[in-house]
Amino acid sequence: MYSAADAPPLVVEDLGRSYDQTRALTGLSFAVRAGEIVGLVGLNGAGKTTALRSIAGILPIQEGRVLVCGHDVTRDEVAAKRGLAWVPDDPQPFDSLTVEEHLEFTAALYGMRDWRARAEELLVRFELVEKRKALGGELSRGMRQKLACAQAWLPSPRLMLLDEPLSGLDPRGIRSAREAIRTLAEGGTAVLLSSHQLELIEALAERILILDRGKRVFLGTLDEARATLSPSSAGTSLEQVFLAATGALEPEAGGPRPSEP
Amino acid sequence: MNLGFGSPALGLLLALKLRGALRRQWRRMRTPKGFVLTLIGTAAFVIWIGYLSFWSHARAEPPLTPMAAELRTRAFAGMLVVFSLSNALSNRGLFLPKAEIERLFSAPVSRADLVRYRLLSNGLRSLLGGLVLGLYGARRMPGPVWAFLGILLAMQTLPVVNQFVAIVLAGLGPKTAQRLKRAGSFLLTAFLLLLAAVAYALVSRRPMAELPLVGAWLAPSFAPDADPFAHPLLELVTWPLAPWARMIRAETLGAFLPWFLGCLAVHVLLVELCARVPIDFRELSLATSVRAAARVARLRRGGGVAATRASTSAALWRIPWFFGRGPLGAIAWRKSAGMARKAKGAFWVALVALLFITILVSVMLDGAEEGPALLAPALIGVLGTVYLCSGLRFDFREELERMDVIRSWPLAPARVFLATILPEVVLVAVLVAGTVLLAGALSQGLTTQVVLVALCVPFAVFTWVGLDNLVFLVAPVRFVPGQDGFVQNAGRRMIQMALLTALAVVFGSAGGAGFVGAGWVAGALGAPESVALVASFIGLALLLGAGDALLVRLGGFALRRFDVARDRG
Repeated sequence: MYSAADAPPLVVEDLGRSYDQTRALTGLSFAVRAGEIVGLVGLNGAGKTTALRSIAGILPIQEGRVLVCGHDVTRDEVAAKRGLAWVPDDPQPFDSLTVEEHLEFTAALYGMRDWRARAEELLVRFELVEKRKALGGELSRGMRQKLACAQAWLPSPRLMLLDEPLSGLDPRGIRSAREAIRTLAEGGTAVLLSSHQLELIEALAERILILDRGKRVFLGTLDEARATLSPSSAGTSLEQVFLAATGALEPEAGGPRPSEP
Repeated sequence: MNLGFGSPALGLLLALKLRGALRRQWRRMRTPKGFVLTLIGTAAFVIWIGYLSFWSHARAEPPLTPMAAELRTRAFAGMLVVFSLSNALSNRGLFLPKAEIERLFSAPVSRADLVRYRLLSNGLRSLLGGLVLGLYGARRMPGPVWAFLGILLAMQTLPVVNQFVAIVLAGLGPKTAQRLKRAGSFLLTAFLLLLAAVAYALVSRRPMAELPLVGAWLAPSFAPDADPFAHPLLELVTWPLAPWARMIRAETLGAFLPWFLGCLAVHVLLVELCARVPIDFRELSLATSVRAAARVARLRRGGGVAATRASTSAALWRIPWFFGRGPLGAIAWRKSAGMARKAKGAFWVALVALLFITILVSVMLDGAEEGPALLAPALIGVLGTVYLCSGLRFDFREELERMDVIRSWPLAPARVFLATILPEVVLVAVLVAGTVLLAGALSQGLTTQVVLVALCVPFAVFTWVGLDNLVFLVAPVRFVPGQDGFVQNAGRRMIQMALLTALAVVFGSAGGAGFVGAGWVAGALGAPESVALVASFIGLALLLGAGDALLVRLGGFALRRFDVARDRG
């Protein structure tokens, strides 16, 4: 057993979930180490958001176990949540709080004392300085996304869960968010990054986790993915590997359908 | 297909939308849950319509005299027109849903056809409301059938009036609209002040004529046996509505037909005026549609005052952290900020609700000599709590779209539940207890009963808000008029109401048992009547307080079990 301080930021064991008759996740197991970025990819409906929401403690765990920094998300919910931050795919800020107050609120929620300097730094990093007095209800899609990122970054979590963090951002915002994710991981935070932008995953992630219809079809580095899933074409892009893994690309004649490594 | 107006494409769009709505309704019925909810929702509508159509007619209330019927119709229609005009002031131009506006504005159809299309959509949308109002309004009219048909026509004309005014205002420019808006606010304030004066006179049991400034003017309407609607000013102001009122209060077909044909001609004339008035409303319509879409989104999040837009100027206010600087305090602070920045809406809703409740209770207990000592403050307390809580909704009911974020907060669910409802509990408790004390001071003085009731209000408010939120978390439902699946949502709402009523009975009975039990014990121990009364209220507060603590635990449990992935209508 690990103590909470040296426990891996995220351990997922046999996670499963159904919505009524639909099976959304089946037997998903993986771990993310400190300072590692794991890219979570899959077609629409593959179970990415369900997995992220289950890990964040938003959806009750139906099957399996999730440990965040050594704390069980079901049994030790509050301690587990203190260790993680989450950026949803469509953030809904509070209509009646200003941008600055969102950060103040987040700081209080995570029991932070000296947060102002870090908040200022994040306002600059996510280009929110001019919007600091704007109400949440007045923000554009991109600004809402930036605010959600700033809120998630503020408590310096040990685990960061990002669900399509770049959607709605302009090119400059995309570049600074990409840089922010890299810096975060360099600081020791484990990042689980879900995105359809495969070039982002390719650029940032050390390992990729591919889901297909709720099941893990691959977990490993991109090189391993190429070797396992698309052995005939060294140097292929993640996009080709992904399409091959999920069956979205017609396999070559006689070629095997990829299976879990 | 051309439904009687210019563009066949728009006719087709309307038909396809209707078919789509029916198809979606059908699809929702195909799951067992959807089917059961549809059954419950439909049963609720049928029972309601049946009650309005048959059973309420069977109750032996005498029909109104033609004159009383006309006055009441004028007053009610006047109120609807005022609402409609104030809506037109805020939504100038032609409103089209967000999904349609850019497509249709760029499509090769004339503006006149667009307006006709919109009017027809509005007419279809208000059909159900007209039907219900027609059945309800016709009950005590001299000729119920003619009244029903008249009300139906009036309710079809109201959106046309609204649209006509909205288009004309688009042509008048922003300054005129702003001035009209200010005049409207002034008139509304004057009306509320008048209402406050009436409430004061009724509560303090003073003759209306003794009121300063407005007494002599109000007195004729409140004289014994006078019809309160028979006021010369009301008659003057609602004079343009006289033909509509005559149509609705007609006793025979012969009396109905001329007015009906006249009103129908006005309706057609207004439709054509709307379509042909040479005003370019496109730019304003874009802004209006964006605003309306944002409002619908806020309504979908919760409704009530919580769905109003936060004031931009209020963003500069510093909101105090009333409940501490910890995580619990932070959540409560966020709620307090929402309430403070939507204070205008909260203030008006609270004021109107409390004034009406005070007037209602005074009228109900008018003439009772003994009862009001305890009954009046208790009734104000209970009704005030229920009405304010359903009107304000600064709690979980405005959070349905953000439940995922709330679920990710690092705080025990029971504490999140407590922190979320606490600011609303405090606000409602202060407002209601203040009203109880004020109404008590004006009517009977600050008696022990009045003070004891006021002291128990916070416990009762906590119980009601806690129950309301607990039930919401167990069976959440958002109800926006006109949304998809409204029949199923009505079914969900019925279940929610049944659950809430059952729980309220349980918790209310426990409080009542505490009240009676403590009083009985004090009496049995030989305590004087005043001490027994205090003991009763302590018993009530203790039992409600224990119930509130239990509610926080249950609320936390419900929040932990809340499944953000489930369809909520």
